[in-house]
Amino acid sequence: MTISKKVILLGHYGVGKSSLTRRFVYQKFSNQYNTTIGVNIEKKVVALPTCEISMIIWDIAGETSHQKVPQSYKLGAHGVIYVVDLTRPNTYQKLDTEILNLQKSLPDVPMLVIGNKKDLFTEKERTDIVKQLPLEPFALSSAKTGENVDAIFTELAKRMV
Amino acid sequence: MNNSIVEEKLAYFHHRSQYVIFDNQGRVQNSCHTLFAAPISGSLYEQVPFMEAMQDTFLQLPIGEDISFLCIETELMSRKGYYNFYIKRQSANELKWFIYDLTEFYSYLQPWQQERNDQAIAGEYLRIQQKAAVLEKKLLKYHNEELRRIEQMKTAFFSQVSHEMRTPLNSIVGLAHLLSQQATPATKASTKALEATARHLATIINDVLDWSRLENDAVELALDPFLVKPLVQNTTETFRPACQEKGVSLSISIAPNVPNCLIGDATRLAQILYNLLGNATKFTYQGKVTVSAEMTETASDEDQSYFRLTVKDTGIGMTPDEQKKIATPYVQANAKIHQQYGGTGLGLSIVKKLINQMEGTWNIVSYPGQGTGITVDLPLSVGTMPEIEFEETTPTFHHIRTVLVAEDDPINQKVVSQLLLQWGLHPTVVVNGQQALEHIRQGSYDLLILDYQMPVMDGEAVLKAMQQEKLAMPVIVLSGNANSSVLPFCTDNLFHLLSKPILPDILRKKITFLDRQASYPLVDLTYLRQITDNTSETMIDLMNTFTLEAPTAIQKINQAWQDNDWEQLRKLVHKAKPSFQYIGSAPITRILDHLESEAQPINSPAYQAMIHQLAEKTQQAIVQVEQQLQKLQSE
Repeated sequence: MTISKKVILLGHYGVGKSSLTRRFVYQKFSNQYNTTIGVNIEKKVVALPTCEISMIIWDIAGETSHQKVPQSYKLGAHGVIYVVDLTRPNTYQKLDTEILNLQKSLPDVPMLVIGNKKDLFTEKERTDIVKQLPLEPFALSSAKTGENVDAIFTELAKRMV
Repeated sequence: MNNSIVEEKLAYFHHRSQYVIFDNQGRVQNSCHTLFAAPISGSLYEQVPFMEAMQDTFLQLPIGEDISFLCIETELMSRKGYYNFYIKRQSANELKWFIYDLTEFYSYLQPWQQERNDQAIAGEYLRIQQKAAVLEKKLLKYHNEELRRIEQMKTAFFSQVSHEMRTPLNSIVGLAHLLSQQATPATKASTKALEATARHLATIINDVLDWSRLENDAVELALDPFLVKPLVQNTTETFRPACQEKGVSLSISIAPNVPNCLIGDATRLAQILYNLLGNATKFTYQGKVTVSAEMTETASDEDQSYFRLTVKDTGIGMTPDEQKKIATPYVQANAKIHQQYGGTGLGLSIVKKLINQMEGTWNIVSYPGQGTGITVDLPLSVGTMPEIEFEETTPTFHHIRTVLVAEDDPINQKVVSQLLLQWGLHPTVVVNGQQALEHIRQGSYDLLILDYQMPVMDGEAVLKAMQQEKLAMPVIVLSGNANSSVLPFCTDNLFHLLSKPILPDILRKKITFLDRQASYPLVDLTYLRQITDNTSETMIDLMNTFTLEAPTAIQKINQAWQDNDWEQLRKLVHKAKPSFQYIGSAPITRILDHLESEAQPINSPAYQAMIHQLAEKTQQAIVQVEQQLQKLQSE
């Protein structure tokens, strides 16, 4: 049995949402930053022990606040991945407020907060940065190396079932 | 509206848009197929990811309601592009999907958005860098402050240790000197050795402390005239006994072009020569050590004269590698040197630092087994100070007789007092600054020897109080720290700093110097001007009174002395004093102080000399006051 689920990726521009999607769907990465306009829709089927999940990934153009994102993009979303860039404090300084507002507009929708670009830091630096985040992230990822990318989408798939 | 325009418009939109009618299961009911061929069989929900994602939403969409989706980048039946979608429920089982292809427009827009985002991200990184730079600067400042604090602590530590070590060392050197003076033939060798050892220890401590201060740029060089030949000769002669013991000849050659006097820091120059000679005699076992001095000029700067000092020896010499190491602090030419010869490894480091500070240069020529020659060139100007020759026998002081010694350490008190007594001076010892100040106010002393660190009231406080109360007199300040910064407010020649341990020769030279400096004007009308508010008439009146009464007063004093009438003499002297104080005659006031103080027996030759000096100087003072009177009356 295959279940379709709409997943939306939110966060500031340049945090790596499209790179994470590309890495997850096509196992590819490019150092070139290409900004997304509007929303790019991709699809990947994830096999869980009990079922298959067809994840329709809405990689939404980055905005400093999700309130600037068109409502129709978020409509009917079953899961949210909120991505922050560990190299840019601006992308996570208001993380707690953002998540709180998102939870209000998408109640009962599972949300995972991801700290991306972990490959650019040492373990010690990462620990220090995580301490500065207003919320504890679900995971730190690297679209460049692929670390934790599949695990994140798979975890969300599980939570959406 | 013109039909052709409408047709053109429709044609424009026609190939950019498509309508698809589908039911709740996603099956296509109808389509214009202008963009893509809508699937006849199967469900749109299975074939178009966008439709699949929105299936639940579309099923719940009420009749007549619509939803717009702008700028969706996706694939429609293998047709990748940017689209605007418009979905509307027509009936319970019919939905209308309007597709508008805006790939061309959004592809054009993307680079603009890209540029905007790139700039915003670059701005963020710039702000982070700026913030990091500010933090780094703060950190650097903190580190610098920390380093400075550590340096200050180090300096303070050295200074404190210096003081603590120098005070007892001072006592040892002084007592050893006194012992050697009074030694019997049986103990003479031991006391000499004791004195030499104490002096050697003083040298090591001074080297360590000097290096510490040089490292911290805390050494201020004096720019005073000094006599060159005695400096070179006396410093070199210090090493003659050591050379004689080893059978090494020691010679001095001073070129005729060396002037009597140069301007610079004599103490530091002597230190350079001392350290160079110390090494030369230490490492030479046969042959000779020669010291030569001459004046040179460089072609590039002909106006600047250079004082060239060369120390050559026929000692063990050095390899080129060893020569490179010798100016490194606490490092000797090789490891065997310390085992064989001892030393701190600071001597030549200090020399190099001092030469640099004097803006001079040095040149080393050395060959192992043949010897070493070090030439030092220092830019020193020629001075004009008359040559002073110190007598080797008991000195005679002309102006300084009574000395107030303010020192809390009992051994130092004894050492200084004994030295002063040996030189025919009259010391009075007090144990703190407070007592010193009281004595200065009440009594009359020709010299104050003042310890800088004392209980109750320290030397600095005494000097400041003396300045405030205008109690001018020559002062020798004893300090464990020979840095002149301890006397920032004492700028005239009446103040001299003497570092502990006190070396008898140096103390004697300081007192001799001050004694020769103590030539106060016979008449100074400053005080009179102050008390008369610069009113000529009152001044003239008082000066006339002085010229009339002074000879009578001196005559009466002379008579009382001839009559050997001490009581009458003391009263007359006491009465005469204010007149001489009005005309600002410090020399005569001091003579009167001595006459009144019973320091000498009334019938002694010294007392007689003072009585004659009083008459003579009073006569000279009257002449000077009369000259001043004429000047005032003519104004």
